Amino acid sequence: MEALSNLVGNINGIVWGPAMLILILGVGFFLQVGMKFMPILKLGTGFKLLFKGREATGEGQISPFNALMTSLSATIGTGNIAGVATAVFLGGPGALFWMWMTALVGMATKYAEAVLAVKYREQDELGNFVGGPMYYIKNGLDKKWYFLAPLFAGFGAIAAFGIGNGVQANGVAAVMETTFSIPTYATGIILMVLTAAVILGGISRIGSVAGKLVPFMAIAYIIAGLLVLLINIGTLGSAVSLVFTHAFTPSAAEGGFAGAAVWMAIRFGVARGVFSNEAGLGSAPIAHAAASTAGPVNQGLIAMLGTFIDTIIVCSITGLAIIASGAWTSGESGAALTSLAFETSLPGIGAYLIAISLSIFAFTTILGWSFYGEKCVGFFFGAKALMPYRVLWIIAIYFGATADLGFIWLLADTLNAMMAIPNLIALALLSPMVFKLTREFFASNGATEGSTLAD
Amino acid sequence: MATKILLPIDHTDDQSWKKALPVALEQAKFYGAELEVISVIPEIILLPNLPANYGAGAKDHVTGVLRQILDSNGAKDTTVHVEEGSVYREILKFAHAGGFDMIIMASAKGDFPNYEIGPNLARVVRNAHCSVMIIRA
Repeated sequence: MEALSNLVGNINGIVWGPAMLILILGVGFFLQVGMKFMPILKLGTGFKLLFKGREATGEGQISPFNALMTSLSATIGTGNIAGVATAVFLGGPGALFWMWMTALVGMATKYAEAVLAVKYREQDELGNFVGGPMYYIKNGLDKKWYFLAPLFAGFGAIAAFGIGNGVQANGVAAVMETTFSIPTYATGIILMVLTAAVILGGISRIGSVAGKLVPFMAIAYIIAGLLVLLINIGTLGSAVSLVFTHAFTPSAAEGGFAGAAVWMAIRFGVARGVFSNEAGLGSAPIAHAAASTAGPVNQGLIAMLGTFIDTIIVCSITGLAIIASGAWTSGESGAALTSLAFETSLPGIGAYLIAISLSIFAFTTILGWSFYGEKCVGFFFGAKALMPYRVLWIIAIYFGATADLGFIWLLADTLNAMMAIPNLIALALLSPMVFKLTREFFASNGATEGSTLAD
Repeated sequence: MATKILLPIDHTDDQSWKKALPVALEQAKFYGAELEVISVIPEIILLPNLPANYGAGAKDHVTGVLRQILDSNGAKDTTVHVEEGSVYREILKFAHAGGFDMIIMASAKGDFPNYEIGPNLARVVRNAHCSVMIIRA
């Protein structure tokens, strides 16, 4: 275990080095500039589309509102609660600033991913739409780049066990133990049974109930978070200034906080930011490809809202609550740190709210990622490999729930970087197509996809 | 003797019907029996990140593919059924409920002396209430 930890640690140091950070932020920034900051400027249009789309839905079509809710249920996970806390614990308050940066450029990345996923999707043997990085590499790029497709699908299938399974189960188990004194193995078994009921037993109802709960839990979490900020209104100003100053200057050790160099703030801010909003990872486009949508740009506009809501709204609330309440110097990490921040400000309900919302977020994320993993495996072996993969998926939950937090995050981080690399290269190579579709869509006021934009 | 024959086909695998369909048609003609085709697709599981109508068109899609195979291979009047779930279980259930008295099914490709009987075919043979005719690929 020790040797394995060291090995993963070494690989992690390489894949999360400066080159990777430049790749993530650079590709996102390049896409933003190429689209003349459309994703940020058209944020309002995106939201308008979202609410207009609640009634106006064509035949056999999912409303954009539902489409966003479904993609959010996989995106909002432990990253928003435990991940932010880990970033602040390891990287200091400045990490939050770098998380915002991943979201600002990540909106363009996510937009491009969804546009390409819909543009280059295929139909599988059952007539369902399949897409995602492996398909836009295969169908959109020259043959000499084809090797990126199996590379992505291979790393994706393995990485899913980290970000989409182990970390989530671990987060739930940890928070259940601290809040309700439920032993981690018990949480592990309960999660296994519930997940098995959905993905092996086909009891979709459990999953769809959990999926419907996500928006409500997210709203409850946001309201509670705003309350925490309101209670700590006196220190909120200095918390915000801490975020900005320590983004560029090292933060000194304080209480249980070990101090962090600027590099640590960037490294953990970006890593956790990407972990949370998944922009650049290439996971979300797999779900976006399944949507029956008016067209690529429509889906892209909805997809980028996911990044905005996830990071700029939900993660900021968590991060600011941790900093403003002073909990960040306590020496706690992960969900326990967020729990502490909420509990000190809202005694009696704070910790419970965190425990319940984290559990629901994590559960839907485990279900959502099982689909991403399956599609990656399916890229190689077709539908026949699904059953063994699902069984492995369920077994992994138990190990995720009972393993050591630090190692699980390290492993997940490493695998995430490895699946992001082929995807980001493909995004850069396919960017002319994204720019072209975007230009045509807005020049024709949405007519290229049979809709009109009222702005 | 047979009055109702069931032929399970996998629409993604030519081997499941290339040899078995002509044999099934012959048998049906010989006995004056009715021939019906069944295909079993995996259950579509709705996960929280998928659109609500995901997989809604799967049955129609598979029926269409099967129809094309049958129509272009001289089996125009054969009825097609598409079921969702575990392959062998759905075949057995359907054969029993529909009162079929013969199942004709293709085996996977093997070589002497190991003719490959896959897990689904093996279970159908072991548990079927009626005769099962295996067509060697």
